[in-house]
Amino acid sequence: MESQNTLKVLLDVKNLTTRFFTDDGIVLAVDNVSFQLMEGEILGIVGESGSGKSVTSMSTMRLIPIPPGEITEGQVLLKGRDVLKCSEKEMQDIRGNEIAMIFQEPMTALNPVYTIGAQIIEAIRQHSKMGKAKARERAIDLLKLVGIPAPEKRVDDYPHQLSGGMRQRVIIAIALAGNPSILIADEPTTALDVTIQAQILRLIREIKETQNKSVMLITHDLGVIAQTCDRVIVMYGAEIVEQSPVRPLYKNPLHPYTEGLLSSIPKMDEDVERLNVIEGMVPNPLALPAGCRFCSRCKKAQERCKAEKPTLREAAPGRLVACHYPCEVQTDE
Amino acid sequence: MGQFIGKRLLRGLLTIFVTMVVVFLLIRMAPGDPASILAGSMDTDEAFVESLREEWGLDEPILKQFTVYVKNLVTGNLGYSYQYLTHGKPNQPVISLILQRLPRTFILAASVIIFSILIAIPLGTICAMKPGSWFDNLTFSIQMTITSIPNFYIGMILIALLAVKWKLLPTGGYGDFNSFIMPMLCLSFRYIVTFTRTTRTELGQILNSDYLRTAKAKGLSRTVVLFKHGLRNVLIPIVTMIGTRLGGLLTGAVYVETLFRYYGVGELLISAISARDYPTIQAVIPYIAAVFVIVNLAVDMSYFALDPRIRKK
Amino acid sequence: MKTTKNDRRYRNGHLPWYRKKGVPRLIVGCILVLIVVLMVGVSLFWTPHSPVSGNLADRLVAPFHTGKSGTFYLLGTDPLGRDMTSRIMAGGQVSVLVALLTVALCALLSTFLGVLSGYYRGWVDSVLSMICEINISIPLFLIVIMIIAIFGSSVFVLALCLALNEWVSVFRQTRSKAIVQSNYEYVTAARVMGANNRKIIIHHLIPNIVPTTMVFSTLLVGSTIIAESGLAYLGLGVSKPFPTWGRMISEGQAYMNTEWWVSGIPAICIAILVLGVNLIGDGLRIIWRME
Repeated sequence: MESQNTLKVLLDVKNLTTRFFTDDGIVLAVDNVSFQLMEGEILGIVGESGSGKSVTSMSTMRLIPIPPGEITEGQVLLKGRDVLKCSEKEMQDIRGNEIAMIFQEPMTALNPVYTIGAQIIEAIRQHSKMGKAKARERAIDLLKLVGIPAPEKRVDDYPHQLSGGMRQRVIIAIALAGNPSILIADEPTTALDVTIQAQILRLIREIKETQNKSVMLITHDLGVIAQTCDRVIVMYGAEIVEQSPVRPLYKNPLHPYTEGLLSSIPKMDEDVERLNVIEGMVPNPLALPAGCRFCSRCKKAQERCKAEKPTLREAAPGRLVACHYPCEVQTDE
Repeated sequence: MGQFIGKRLLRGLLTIFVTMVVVFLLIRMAPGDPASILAGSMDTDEAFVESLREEWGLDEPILKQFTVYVKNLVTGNLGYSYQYLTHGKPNQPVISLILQRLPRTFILAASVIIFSILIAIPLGTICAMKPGSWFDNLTFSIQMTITSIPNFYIGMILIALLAVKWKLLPTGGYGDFNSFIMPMLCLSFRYIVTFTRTTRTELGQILNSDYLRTAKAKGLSRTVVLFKHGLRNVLIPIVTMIGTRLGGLLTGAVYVETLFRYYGVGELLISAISARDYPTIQAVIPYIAAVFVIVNLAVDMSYFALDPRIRKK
Repeated sequence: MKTTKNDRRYRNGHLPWYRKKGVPRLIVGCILVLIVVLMVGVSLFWTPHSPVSGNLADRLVAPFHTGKSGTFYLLGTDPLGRDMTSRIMAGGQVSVLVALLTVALCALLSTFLGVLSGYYRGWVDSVLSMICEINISIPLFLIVIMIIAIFGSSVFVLALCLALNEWVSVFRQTRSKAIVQSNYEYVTAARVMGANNRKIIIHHLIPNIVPTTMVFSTLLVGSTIIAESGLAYLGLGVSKPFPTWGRMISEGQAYMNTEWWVSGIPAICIAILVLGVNLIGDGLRIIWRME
């Protein structure tokens, strides 16, 4: 834990706020979110669907559709430079080259009319002045790296000829093509079979180790976080409710929501009659409550929670929580 | 690929056959004997009616008549048109009329499609890139207005302004390039609207698609994203659109050719119908259907160039 | 929070109902259609002058002018001295009637066949799909012209022909909707509960298909009106002496540069009606989120 503070901050997100102007009303998708991504770590962002985790990651790359979306506030500092203030031209150098993204839907994230080779080569040549033949070689190397068998043959295949898991590997290869320092993986395994999921997660971990990347892993699955991440951010109702290194979070969640999430995971070593579920629904993003957003589903909720919104504060070294009545911090020592 | 084309070809032949049956039966279902109706409209004697009956084999059993009809269509032995008479006798073979007129309509239709696409794709692209902008709204309003006005009235306005008032172009006819401009322009309006709308909705969906986001995330420039990944994929629905709009194009050609006295196959058909020129009618419609089938086949083939998902199935 | 220009359209974070997508179109469309339908409806009982006979002394009087006989004409007169206002009012009857009949035929046919094809599938579906495929590759309109030329054109023949020409576009939509609906759990559930096919179709499928039929039939009304006027222009419309808008346009062709109103006013009427119907269809499509 101490060592992390001395690590270099690669990406510093400050007060990021993204809203969508829809037909039903203004949706606050990301509300005043701040966090940092350190060099060489895997940061997990976990939350239910609609909690704003995907929009957070897309906003850092400025990939949200405008309109209806709009980043209304905040800074995204990449090595000290504010991404949100960059021109479209400067963004081109950042995307793929500094930050790259692995997408959720391997079935639709590749252009159906070009071969996978062409799509990787395109990404390579965008960021380096490589000749076509050399770029093709590199594309084959990348395919080999992400574990595609017979890459020399596969390079000329069209996306529809590959399985979902293979396509996801191709998408990872595209993300690696520009040799970025940050990889954002947005639910990279959600659309895949369980066995393939594990392979892809292992691949991401390997790449992080061998290629020395920082990874932001977005998922709704705390199990995935436990397997893969160093640090974790829990999002609820467009906000961060808890931020912590992985191990202490699982042992000793501070926010009642995290506690609820953890107790809803089935455990192999315990006999339980029924799985715990968090009662109630995610708050309506069109009409977020004035106080704590988890208040209506929280067992510990008091009058104060309804009226006053808790702010994110440090509960222990490296651990932040946004709750008036968090669980007690247990110290290992 | 062979199977795909074979299937389409079979469907095309079926289409032509169905057209032939329908046309054949309709003419024979017409009240009154076609020969006497025709003769009646031409002030001829009973002997002429008899010779007509014989020529068309109207006394034969219906199946025999149909085989003769099919044979005549295939061999191009289509008889004479009864609209064009010299000294009271028909002298224009239907086949030469068709061969003269079909290319004119074909050229008109092809230019309309090309011209409309050249205008519509840039328009639709600008609209799709900025949905809800003033340009998009203006384009939508103009589209709505154009689709609400009958096409022949737009043609009438064109004649009144460009030909009569400003005397820039001839009021109609066929021959030089100048007389070609107005028919093409008039017919293009509707197709510009259709293709603009297709481009706008399809490109709009593609611009929000996952693969376009991937392309953007690679750091490609806006132009490359738009042209290489966006418009390249829009071509597929556009080509589909051309295929489904061929029928409408021919319908439009009927009006436009009549209005501008552009003597194409549509005008031939309308004048044949009003003159009850049955030999021409029953020949023209299957021939048009055949051209249809061929163009549709060409459209289908172009999918192979555009969409790899069909190519390697 | 920073206010952007987007915020101004919203009230307390919500879009007012009249600003929701599709609603303005629907309202404008309804108003336009209502104007025309009222006008045509009144003509069934009353028109200011006779729509079929005129006063030759008052030929080609401009709109808002008084003719030589001292009569005031709101929309002027035609080359035979007939009152344009009366002719416009009465001339809409054919357009509206043909359009309503055609679309009703299309809607009935495509709902019925769509359900049949989408729910039962099998050979019925194969045959109907093949008819559809042939239908788009056949120059059907030519056959329609032929039918009208041979059998003459009463309102009913016209509607039947136009329906023949257009039903496929609605049928495709209802069929795919029926397929989607038949695969839903609730249909299986209903079957498990012992509902027979007829009950499932009447109680579950049809109510879910009606919005689709409505939207795509409404979108057809416009093209039907245009097609009817076109046939009238070619001399294949409902026979004289009763005026129709399409024929009025073609009668005014010779007067385009001098007396624009003879053809212009019926064209404007067609445009208003078609625009109105198309806006309604478009509005419903957006509100019900169909593509």
